[in-house]
Amino acid sequence: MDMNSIELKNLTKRYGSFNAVDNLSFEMKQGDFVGFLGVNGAGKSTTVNMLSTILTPDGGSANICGYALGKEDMDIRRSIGVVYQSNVLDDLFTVKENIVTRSKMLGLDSKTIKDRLFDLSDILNLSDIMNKRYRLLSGGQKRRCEIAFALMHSPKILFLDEPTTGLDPATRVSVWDAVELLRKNTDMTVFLTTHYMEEAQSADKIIIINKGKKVAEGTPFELKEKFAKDSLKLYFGEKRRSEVTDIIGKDKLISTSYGGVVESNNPFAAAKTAEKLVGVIDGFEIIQGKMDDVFLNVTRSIEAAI
Amino acid sequence: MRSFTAINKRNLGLYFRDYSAVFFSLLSMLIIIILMVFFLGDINNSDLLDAIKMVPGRGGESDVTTIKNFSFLWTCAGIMTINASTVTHAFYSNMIKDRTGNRLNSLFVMPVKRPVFVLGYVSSAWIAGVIMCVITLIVTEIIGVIKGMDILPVKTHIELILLIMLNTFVYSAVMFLLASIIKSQSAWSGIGIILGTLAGFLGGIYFPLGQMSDGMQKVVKCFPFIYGSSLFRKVLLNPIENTLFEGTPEVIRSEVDRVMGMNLFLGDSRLSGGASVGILIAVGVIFIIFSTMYLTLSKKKDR
Repeated sequence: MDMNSIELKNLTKRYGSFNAVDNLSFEMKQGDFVGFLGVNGAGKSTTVNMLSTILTPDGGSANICGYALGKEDMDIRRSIGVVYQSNVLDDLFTVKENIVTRSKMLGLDSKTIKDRLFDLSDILNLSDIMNKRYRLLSGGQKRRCEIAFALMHSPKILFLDEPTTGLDPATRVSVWDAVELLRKNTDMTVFLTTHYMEEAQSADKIIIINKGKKVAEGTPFELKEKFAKDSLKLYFGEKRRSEVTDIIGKDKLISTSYGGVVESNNPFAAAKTAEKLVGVIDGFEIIQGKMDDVFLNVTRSIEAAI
Repeated sequence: MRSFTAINKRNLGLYFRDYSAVFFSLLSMLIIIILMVFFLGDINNSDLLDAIKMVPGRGGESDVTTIKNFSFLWTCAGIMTINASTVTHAFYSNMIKDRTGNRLNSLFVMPVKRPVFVLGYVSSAWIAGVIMCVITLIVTEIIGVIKGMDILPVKTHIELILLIMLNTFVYSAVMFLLASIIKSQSAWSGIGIILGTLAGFLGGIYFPLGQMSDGMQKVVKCFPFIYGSSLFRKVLLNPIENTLFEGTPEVIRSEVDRVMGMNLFLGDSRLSGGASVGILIAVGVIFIIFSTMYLTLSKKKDR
């Protein structure tokens, strides 16, 4: 039976009367990649800080790699790596000095550090910048160094707390490529918090929280099925507009410069609609619902319910 | 042990690579020494000379020179005391930066036990403080030799270095607790301003303890500065006092030692050097215990 890598039961963190994290429960299997989504202030970082033993929960319980949070914190710390939103390595040291010194703080011996650093610098492409002062690096290089350090002790779980916030799109892609490569090579659980919904697209599972409460959980596909609609892009000329509206209904077609768009519950329904228009339209595209739509629809429905 | 050494290496690297912080630590020390040597150091000379002149045949040119040297060393003893507090204060500003930049969380998430973490920070501040205070001692000696003084005896050097180690330990521990509680860089700078203003008074450096009111003397004895400065003065001034008070009645030396703060009194009883050492060790240990307790308890609330 697969071991659960993270298990939360009614985990709660209060600041006065404000519940930053409110009875949060979920489970993750070893090796899973979980996207933990929420708007700013939803409780994502508070959850990561609790799971990484920095904050003590006010209620509930959690098991990390089989260790009880609050009782076996030292074992938990040995099993996890955390990449924070802000860079934490020291500007005045070189990349190598930073990683070696901190790895020694972790208790690693010189040989392990040397071997591990060699492997990680290969995967994360650090060899050219290894002896550069950290403050002279670009944003993306710094992020790769932060990830390298978080992985030095080969953690079973890697927490990525909004790791690409503030980075340009190209740098974000390079950071994600590195994380993907690492996931392929290890059985490491990745717990990603982000408010970039598309980043969570490749996750095995997505948990959305709002105001400290879990509001949705599932695979990206399940969530898209449930909360996002697919759209059918139709390409046709102005002369055909009346024919198209006759077939699919005037209210359903959103007019565009290239023709129109029809919302659809799933790709099969979209395909059926397109089939009805054979000979009328020049072409079509089925656009799958986006994670952004999932997120907006989930949080909006919660706001409406409140 | 590996974690402990690594924490020390990181913190010392951060302090000594910040060249401007090191430069200003040394500059402030030099400014105080120069101010004292050229402007303030002689303020107590006339009282001392009057005391010596009570002995027939004394108070000549050589006594005037000895008294000038006495004042210089008396001032330098005080500077060495407060230097330990200002250097450790500057050192821990990196810890405040760590907190404001989320770095402290990244350190706390490592499998390092809290007492090891506390001792790692305290010991690195201690090493930096000892290095800077030894530099102060060297500068003091160089200026002293330029002024025509003899090099201090080896025994005095050894005692001074041991005292520097003890005194710096106290402020490494005290400042660590303050740095654990203080949350912002501006508040930490505020502590620095208060420290710079008060330490000179509390250490009996700007004017001697014996010239303070009874109430002020009681207040001063509630802080560790005076115990450190009294010990530094006792050790640093012993050779020159032996020369100055040779052939004078014992009462003159003991009165000078009381007024100038070499000897401390709690009520009517004189505090021995050992007792002052004991007080300083106790202050350091108590603050380390408080710091560990604070870090452990504060986690339960939030940081």
